Amino acid sequence: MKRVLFYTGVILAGFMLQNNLFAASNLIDTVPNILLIITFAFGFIRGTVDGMLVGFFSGLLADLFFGTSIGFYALIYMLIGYGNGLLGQVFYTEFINMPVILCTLSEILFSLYVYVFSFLLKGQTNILFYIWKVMLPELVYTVLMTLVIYKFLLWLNARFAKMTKRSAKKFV
Amino acid sequence: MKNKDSRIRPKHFLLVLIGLCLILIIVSTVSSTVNNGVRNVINTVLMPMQRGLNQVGGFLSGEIESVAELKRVQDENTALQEEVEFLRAENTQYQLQLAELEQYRELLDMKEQYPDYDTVGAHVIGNNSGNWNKTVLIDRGSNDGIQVNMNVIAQGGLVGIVTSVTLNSATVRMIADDGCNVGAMSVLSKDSCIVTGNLELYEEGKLRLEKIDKDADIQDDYKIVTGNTSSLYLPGILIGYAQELQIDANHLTKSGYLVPVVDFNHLDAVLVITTLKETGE
Repeated sequence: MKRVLFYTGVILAGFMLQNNLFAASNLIDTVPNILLIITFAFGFIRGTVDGMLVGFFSGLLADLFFGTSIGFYALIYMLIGYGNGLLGQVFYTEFINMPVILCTLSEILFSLYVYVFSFLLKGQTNILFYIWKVMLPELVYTVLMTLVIYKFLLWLNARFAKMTKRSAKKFV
Repeated sequence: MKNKDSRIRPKHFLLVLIGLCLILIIVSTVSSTVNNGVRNVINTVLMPMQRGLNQVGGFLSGEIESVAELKRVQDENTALQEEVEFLRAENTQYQLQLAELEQYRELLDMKEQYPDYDTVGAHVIGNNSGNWNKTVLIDRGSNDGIQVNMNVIAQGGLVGIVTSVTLNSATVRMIADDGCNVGAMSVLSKDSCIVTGNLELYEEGKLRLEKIDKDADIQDDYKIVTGNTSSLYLPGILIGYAQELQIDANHLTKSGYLVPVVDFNHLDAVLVITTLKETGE
């Protein structure tokens, strides 16, 4: 239950940061995909189930606010969370460059998904333009944000784990 | 917490959720009532927080900009002063010409008739979470009388159309959004054309202008407004100016670009026209 609240807080904070602080303020033109960072980070740190659920609800939130059909983003975020959970079973969490590699993979997957399903199917075939003007800037910004946010999430997760352990002891 | 068969369970869980997603996509596409109902609840809860954070973001960017702007403004000032002198001279000349024009207009009775529509002011409080779609969230909803398909204007031109409404917010799809079509016409000749949003052109600050009859009297720099025949947009709202028109390969139509009067990247205050287009349905 506490974990649910914890995730809810993190997702909401990420969503607000992404939409309100970055997108609406015109500080920068391209918005880093913070929900994606949260999704892959928890998938990688906590495993498939957590990644999947965090991704699902992150995507659902994005859908509810901006999507044309509910579930479109939920699906891809969820798959990314799950996929990173699988990778997390293979690789070490502390390996320093891992988050950057994971972020790049996730971001590419996400971009291609959006491009194929909401642009290519509409007949926009000029993929080079989309790679150059939309995917690449988003990728760069997201990777940059990963360096900060991933560390922070790792710290937050550790702190949270400590806290729950302590309170569990208290009740026993 | 995880049981011993945890190697199988996540996989099943994933399949269930994938199924759920697909069902949601289908249901929300087919039925808009379900779609809006859920959105309403979420929106009402999160709106106050979003509004607050927006102000923080706006404040930060405002501060940074103001520092950078000071230097620019000083340079600009000197340049502008020279320009003022030049313009003053020009202005006198124009005033004479304007008086002349006024006379001609009265003669021809060609005064532009801009219809008066009732409007509601709103603020942009969120942009689309991705970089793919051009939709914005505004802080007025059905409580303020906003309905789906209402036209939104700003900076004297057409911004877009309301696509979904919750109690306290509404989503506006900008005409620059990819695949958005607006039936338009030239002010002078009333020749019809279609304005299409395109993500590629959005980067250059342009929209597409197409389906103009080859012989239609639309040329570069002609004023383009929403057309009478458009089913969703009220007629006579300024969209922008035609540019680089060329005859298409089929030799039947011509097409080109449209430079919008609205700066879609820097929207803040917008006006929602509360009059809905009467289609006679």
